[in-house]
Amino acid sequence: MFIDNIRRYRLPLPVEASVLTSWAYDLEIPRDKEVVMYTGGLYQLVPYIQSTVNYLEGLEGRKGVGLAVKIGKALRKVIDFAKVIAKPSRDAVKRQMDILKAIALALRKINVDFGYLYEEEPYSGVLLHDLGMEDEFKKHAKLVVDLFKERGVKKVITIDPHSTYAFKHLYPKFLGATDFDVVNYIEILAKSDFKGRCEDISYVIHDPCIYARYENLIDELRSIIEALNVKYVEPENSRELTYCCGGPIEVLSPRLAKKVAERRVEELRRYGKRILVACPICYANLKRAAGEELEIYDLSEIIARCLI
Amino acid sequence: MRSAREVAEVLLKALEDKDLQAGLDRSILNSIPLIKGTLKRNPYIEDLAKRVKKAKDEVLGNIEYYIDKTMDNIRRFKGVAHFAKTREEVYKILDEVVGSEKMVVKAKSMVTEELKVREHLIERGNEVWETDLGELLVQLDKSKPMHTIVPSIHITKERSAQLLRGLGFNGGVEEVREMIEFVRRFLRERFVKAHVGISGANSVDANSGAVILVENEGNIRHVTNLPNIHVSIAGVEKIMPSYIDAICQAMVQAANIGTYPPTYLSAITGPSSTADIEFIRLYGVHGPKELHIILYDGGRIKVLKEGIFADQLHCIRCGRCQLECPIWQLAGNMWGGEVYGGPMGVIWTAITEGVEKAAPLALFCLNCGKCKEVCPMDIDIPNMMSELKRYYHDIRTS
Ligand code: SF4
Repeated sequence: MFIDNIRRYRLPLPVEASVLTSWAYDLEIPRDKEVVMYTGGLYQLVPYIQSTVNYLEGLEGRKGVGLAVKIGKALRKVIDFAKVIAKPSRDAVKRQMDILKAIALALRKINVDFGYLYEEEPYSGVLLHDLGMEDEFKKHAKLVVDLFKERGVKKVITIDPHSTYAFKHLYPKFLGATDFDVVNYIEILAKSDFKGRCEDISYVIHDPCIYARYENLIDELRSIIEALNVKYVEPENSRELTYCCGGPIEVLSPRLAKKVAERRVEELRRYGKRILVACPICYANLKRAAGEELEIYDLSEIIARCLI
Repeated sequence: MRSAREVAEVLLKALEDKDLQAGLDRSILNSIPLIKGTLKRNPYIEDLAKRVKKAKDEVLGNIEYYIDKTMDNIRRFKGVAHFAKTREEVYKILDEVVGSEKMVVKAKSMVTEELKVREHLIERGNEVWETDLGELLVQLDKSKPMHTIVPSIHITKERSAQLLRGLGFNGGVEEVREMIEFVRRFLRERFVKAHVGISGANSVDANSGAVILVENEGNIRHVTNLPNIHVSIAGVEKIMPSYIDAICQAMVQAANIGTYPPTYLSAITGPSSTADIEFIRLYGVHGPKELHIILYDGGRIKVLKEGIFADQLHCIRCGRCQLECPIWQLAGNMWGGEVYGGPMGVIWTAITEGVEKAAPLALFCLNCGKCKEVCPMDIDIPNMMSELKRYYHDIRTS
């Protein structure tokens, strides 16, 4: 199903273009720039992913249902999708938009000049790779590279771990050196000298696996938090030893993914009630497991709140 | 090839297995802090691990040379050297050396699990006893080992008592001490009567053919010492280029299990001997008269040549990647093939049972990278998992 959607809509889920781009219209981000902020649609999709995974989890419990076939049929079109999947709440959607805005504003604040490709922005295809569909991934990646070239993109600012990993490691691995540079917004912010001031509350850090173990963005994350004057706690499984949120298998087995997330939540709550994440997938999965018990914040939300 | 859904069902069933879940929780809770503490107190282990990795690179890059060299040196020290390419060849050697109607005591070893040595010897009419307590429980339970080091994590004390009743134990379910006492007495008789002791090997020194074995219970000492014949079976990847490297490997493994130093570290070079009377060397004094070492290929050499899963042959079977893997923590070796489970186990399954068996299992790898991070040999398991995922997809679509 997800694969089919990627083929048809260039995204794992069929949502309307405005869902993906509305945040940027508000900020009047220019289109034609050599440097672009790249969302990969991930943050925008979080509320929809949550609804879909909840739906899948319901199906998974039932015996004798050919899971893949059934949902494959059900969720193939935008219209069907809208019928089957509960519409996410406005708050949930707004929250994700605010996250994107916060990142964009933080970049502006330190005078990074960048654009955004709006509805032309392609999905990175990373899910194809994670599921083992390397040929499909390669084909998809080629399209993305061509599109960047056509639009004169020289540098991509990524804002989530999965796209970062795809562009930095997988694209060169499958296609050889690419024409554009890739830099993660955390790297950019960590190098700048912005400052912040925050309420006196402390957060428990949940490092995304990819930042911690594949991209080595560990100290950078902390230096941003420190620059904002925010306090933080390190759980036992932190930094290189961080613990997965379960997200990568949520489409294969929502129940198992949730169990993984529950284990992580079990650990995190021993350290505090407010959790700091830096990945939309981590956010979605930990949230699914923690419910209202924990408050989960994206790094950018804290940046937005504390930046001066 | 199994589908993703079939694997998912097995994993979800494991979630419902209360004994397994309790056992997994206990082993995670106890082991991880123990291991971290051990490594912190003994920081030199990290350097030793690097040394071991380098030594393994040397051997794995010249495997035929090292097999020959090891065989020659086993003979030089009066051991009997065997090389077996397949399971059938191992059986043939065992049939010759052990025969039938013998009493056989066994030490726990993954490669003998892989080869189903116990089952084969029983089929040939021998009486065979696992002597590691956990493995004995698994034998009685007719289940499979759930962890490389503590195979019986899925068996509660209640179930243990019940299983031991079959052997004559009549104490209560709370009396773990009594259970151990009982097993000690029960096996002691068998150790003395046994004709053959069978063990694996943590490592084998190419220069002397020495077999290195690590343990805490003390059963391996009996298995390798009391019977007239000792047979050690080792995968060819266990060969190390020197005696000291072989010992280092055992130390690194023990530290990454959290019991360090291990209670017993045995290094066995040749059968027991004496030259105390007029300097005439005679074999078989207190220990075995015969020492057989079987170097087992079982697809490993081919894997080394093909390259895709070659990295896994650096594995020292410490089980660290299992303990730290979120999926293993939920499903134990139910996420695995017939013998090997968890991150290392999925790749070992690919090597020993074929990629078709391993590929659907690999789909459930989170690619979170934790196994690689904690592995003392820095084995890139996630990368090999990706290969298996791709394979799954290629087969499904073709
Ligand atoms: S793969 Fe690494 S961590 Fe896992 S058992 Fe082997 S050596 Fe130990």
